[in-house]
Formats: sequence, C-alpha cells, structure tokens
Amino acid sequence: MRLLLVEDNDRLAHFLVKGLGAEGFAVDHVGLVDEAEAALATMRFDAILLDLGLPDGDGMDLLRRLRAKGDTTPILVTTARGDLGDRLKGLDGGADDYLIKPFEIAELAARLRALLRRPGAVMSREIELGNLRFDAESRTATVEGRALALGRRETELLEALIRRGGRAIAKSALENTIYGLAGEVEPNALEVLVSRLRRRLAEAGATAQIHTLRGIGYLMADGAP
Amino acid sequence: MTSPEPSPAIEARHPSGSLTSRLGWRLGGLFVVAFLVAGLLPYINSRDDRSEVMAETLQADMRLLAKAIAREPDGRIAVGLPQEIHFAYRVRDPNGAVLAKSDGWDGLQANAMKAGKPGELQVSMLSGHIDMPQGPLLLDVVLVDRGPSLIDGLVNEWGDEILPLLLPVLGTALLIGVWTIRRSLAPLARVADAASAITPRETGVRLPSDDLPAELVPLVTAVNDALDRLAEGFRHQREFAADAAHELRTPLAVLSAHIETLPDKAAVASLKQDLFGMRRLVDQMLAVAELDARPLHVDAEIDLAALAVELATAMAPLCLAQHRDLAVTGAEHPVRVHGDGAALRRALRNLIENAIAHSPERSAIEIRVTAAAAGRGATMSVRDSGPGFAPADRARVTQRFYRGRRAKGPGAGLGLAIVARIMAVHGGRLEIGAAPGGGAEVTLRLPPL
Repeated sequence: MRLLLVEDNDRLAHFLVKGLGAEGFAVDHVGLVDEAEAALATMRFDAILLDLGLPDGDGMDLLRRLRAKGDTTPILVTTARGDLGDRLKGLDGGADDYLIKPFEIAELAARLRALLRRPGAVMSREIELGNLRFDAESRTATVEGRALALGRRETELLEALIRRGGRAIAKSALENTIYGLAGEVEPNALEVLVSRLRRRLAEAGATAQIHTLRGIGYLMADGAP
Repeated sequence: MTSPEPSPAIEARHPSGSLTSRLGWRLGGLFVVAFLVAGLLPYINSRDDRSEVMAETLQADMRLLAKAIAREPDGRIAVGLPQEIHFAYRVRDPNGAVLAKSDGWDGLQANAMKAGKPGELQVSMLSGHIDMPQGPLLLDVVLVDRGPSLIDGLVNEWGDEILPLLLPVLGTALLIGVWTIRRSLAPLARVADAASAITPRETGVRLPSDDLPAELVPLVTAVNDALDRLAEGFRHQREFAADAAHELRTPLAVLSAHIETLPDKAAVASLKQDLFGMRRLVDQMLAVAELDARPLHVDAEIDLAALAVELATAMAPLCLAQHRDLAVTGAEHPVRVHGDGAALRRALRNLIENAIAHSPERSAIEIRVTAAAAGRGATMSVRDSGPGFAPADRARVTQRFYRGRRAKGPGAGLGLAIVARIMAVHGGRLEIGAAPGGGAEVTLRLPPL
C-alpha cells in the first residue's frame, strides 16, 4: 500500500517512513504543500498522511482543494493542535481521521488500515491478526495455514471483529451487521455466537482473542505477547 | 498556565453608603428645609405685619390724643375726644401725677402689663410726651385688639389650610425624588450584572453603556477599554498554550517515532513507558491551560450514557493493552444532562486513566452511569479494585500537583484537579469514595436539571 506522507519535520518523517515501512507500507515523503501537489498529480496513493502546519501553506487548504476536485483518497491528518480534532472531522474538514501528536506508529498503522478498509477505499484482500488470517474475497479464515470451519454467521462475526481489529465494536453495531436491522434478535443470540467463535478460534490455536466488554461491546485483539 | 483558584470572597469593606441613600437623605433634607422656609416665611412675615400695624395704630392714636389735649386756665387738663374711642389713655405731668385718663384705663393697663400672654386679648401700649406751653406732659396710650383682623385670618389660613396641603406635597416630592434616583441608578445594576459574568474564560463580555447616565459613560468606557487590554492578554496566553502544544508535542512525536523504530524491543518497552508519562503530563498541562482559556459550553444537552459508552469504546484497547477489563453499566437508556461534552469526556477519561494506573493487572474497571433522581443529579462513576484513596488524601487529591501517598508510577497530580475544575464549572461535584470491594470509586455528579 502506497502512502504519501506530508510532514515538514524531517526527523519525524524519517522515523515514520522507517516505522511504517516495518508495518508494510510504502511511504513517499514530501515536506511542502507544493511538493505534495506535484506528487499527487503524478501518482496515485492509497492514503495520505497530512500534517497541518507546513512551511508554504496550511494542510487544511490542501485537504479542501483535494476534496473540491472530487478526490476521495482517504486522508489521515496529524496535528499537534488537540482542539482541532472535532473540527477536522466535521463537514468543512473533509479528513477521514486524525491523530494528535505524539502518537504511536502502531496506532497510526492501525488507523491507516482501518481507513483503507472503508467503502470507497481500496479493500485490503487479506487481514491479519496475530497468526489468524482472513481473506475478504473468499471469506475464509486460516490459522497458520490451516482453514477454520466456520458457519455463515460465525464468518460474518469474525469479519466484523477482525476489520476493527484492536478496536472495540458496539454490541448493537455487531447485531445490525450480522442479523440485519429488521430481524428479531434473541436477547443472547450474539453472546452464544461469540462464545462459539471463541471456541473455534481457541481450538485452531489462534493467538487473537475476542474480549467481551460489558455494557460496551466486543474487541478482538492479538493476545500473543 | 495557571489561573487563580476561585479566590476567597474578598471581605466586603464597610460600604461608604449607597448612592441612593446618600442622594435620598440629602435631597430629602433639602426638600424639607425648602418647604419649611416656603411655608413659614409668609407666616412669620404676617406676624411682623401684625405688630407693625399695631404700632402704627398706636402712634396714630397718640397723635390724635396729643391734638385733643387742651389745658384749662386753672391748670386742669381737658381731653376733647369723642366718647367712642378704641383705645384707652392717660395723661400725666412730669412728676407722674395723673392729670386725666379714659374710662377703661385701669383695667386695660393691668392687662397691658402682661401683654403677650397667649389666649388673652392682645393689648399694646405706647408712651410718649408732648410739650405744652405750661410744661411737658406724659401720654400713655393702650390699644385693645379685640377680634381677628385680616392679618389674623391670613395667618390662620396658613396654619389650617395651606400647611396640611403642603405636607402631602412634600411627601410626594420625596417619594418621586427617591424613585427618580432609583430609576437613574438602575442601569448601574445592569452594568454590575454584566461585569459579574466576566471570568478568565469569558473575556468577550463588555459592559453596556446604553441608557447609562452620561456621567457614568466615561467610567464604563474606561473599564471596557481595560477589559479589551485584558482580553488581549488572555488571547496571548491562549495562543501561548496552543503554541506550547505544538512545540511540545512535535518533539515528543519525533521521540516516540524514534523509540518505536529502535531494534532493542526490551529497551523500547521501557522507553515507551517513560514517554507515556511525559505525554500524559504534557496533555494534562495543556488541558489545564485550555480549561483556563476556553469557555465551556455547559448548556448543551448531552447523553451521559452515550458519552460513557463512546469513551469506553475508544479507551477499551488501552485498557486491554494494560491488561485491565473495562465495563459500562447503567448506559442502556439515555441519561440527559446539560454539560460540555468535550470537558465531561476529558473528566471521565482522566478517571479511567487513574483507574488503569492504580489498579492491579487482570482486574476490572467499571464505569457506572446513573440517571438523575428526585433532587439528585445524574452521575458517572469509575470503580477500580486498586488500593483506593487514603482517607487523609481525599480532600487534597483535587489540588494541582498533589500526589497521594499511595501514588506510584508516572503522574503529575493534575488529573483530579482538572476533573474537579470541570465539575465546578458545571455546578456539579467530584466525589472521592471507596468501592464496596475496597477499591476507589470516583463519582462525577452533575447538578439536577
């Protein structure tokens, strides 16, 4: 996956290119708005990582110009201004997500992956969590190469959880995804489904675990140390 | 970055008297004096008039008497006055021997001696002398004032009719005076109201100068100008906070990215721990600065249940990464309150971060939302199974930079101070308590709607 990193702090850019490279991203770095526009004119990027305060202009202006042109490339804004957060995601902002500096590269990589999975963005075909691998095209899951035998709803649940890997997902959102909005859901149908999937993952030796967050929802994370 | 804590109310010095009462008393006094003078002057004047008339009458009578005196050849005195006279007289020789007197003299003279006694006949006496060819004669004339004269009528009218009319007029004038003063000073109360709304967070308020007496406009304008300069100062401080955010966060981001790309994973874990503490401190100090500078919008209607679930969802990965379980209870139904969503979210986040820092691994952190009940506001509380707060610390943990005696690990002692401040702005409370199992239970209580 190809990323454009627009960041004027060269040292930060250096470590981000290195760190994101280790996470599997190919990163092109530019330090100016002009350079960013030149890069965007010649190449297609899967996502843009945009710093706001740039020497030759405001990242926000670049963001607006891109959106005005109809460019839907996912854009993750990084900023040191905590108070900007809510406005960035507002209607006038146009950013898909934001991170406040300082952030961890692991978190940045997770957010970028989440952005790339969004509708309109390039769907990643394979999603990994620990030794668990989910192929979104064939809708099959494997643990260290061994296929898991999952029912239709178990597969849907696994896909929903692994797409938000490392992040919590509300119980009601899961119910809507799996049972649809109209369908009647038995009060503990989801709990039963989750415990079944948990058992199958454990039997297959997956390191990823499904955590129950009472009153919140579920979270799937790699439990390997 | 700091702002004064809500300063203890400055002990009101004995006020130098309200303007209303000062103006009221002085103008009232002036009214009373003016009315008394206006009312009594004609009375006093007419009193004078009356004695003048008496004196003139006496002199006229004296002259009449002098003309009427004739001396008989035998030395006796003859007084050629008609029988009907309105005065009594006596004529004496230089030695005091009475040569002639009128019929009523003796009785009247006795009265004349005690003239002036109220309620009795007004009797006036005039003495004089005339030179006759045979030698001087002493004349005494006594005048009896028998009935009310025109002057007496006027005087009585003052007392009986005009004064009773004047008194209500005086009272009404006083009332109108006080009312006018109050009305004229009413704009001052509005100015005071506006001024009391000014805080470090609300620097945009200016005192209204419309409807204000012209004399006060320069004062209000000067105060507003001073406020402009103060607001400018606060704006600089806000900008400083924002700049500081940028200046501190960017090098931290570099450091963080650098550490993460180091090859030695054990060192990375340890450095990240230190970095986490540093990040948190910077975050909290900026939160304090922002809280001092940014106005909170505590009137917005928000759903505490949704806020708790949303924040718990966002913080769950952090909790799980630190090997703590996170749960929310009581959030099945909306809990509507008035408050600043961002500030309350920060308050709850601080409590959860505290719980993570002070509870053992593999334990659960519980966020509990309760709806408002009769007379009690809605609450959000965070329970952990850590050591809890030492009783001696409970009152002090909300002070900035105070760290409890059981505190360990990174922490600047700002978290609960921020929470306490946020709750105070909401008119609510931060309650430090103990969970039934022994851990800490910290409650954010919002005021009843």
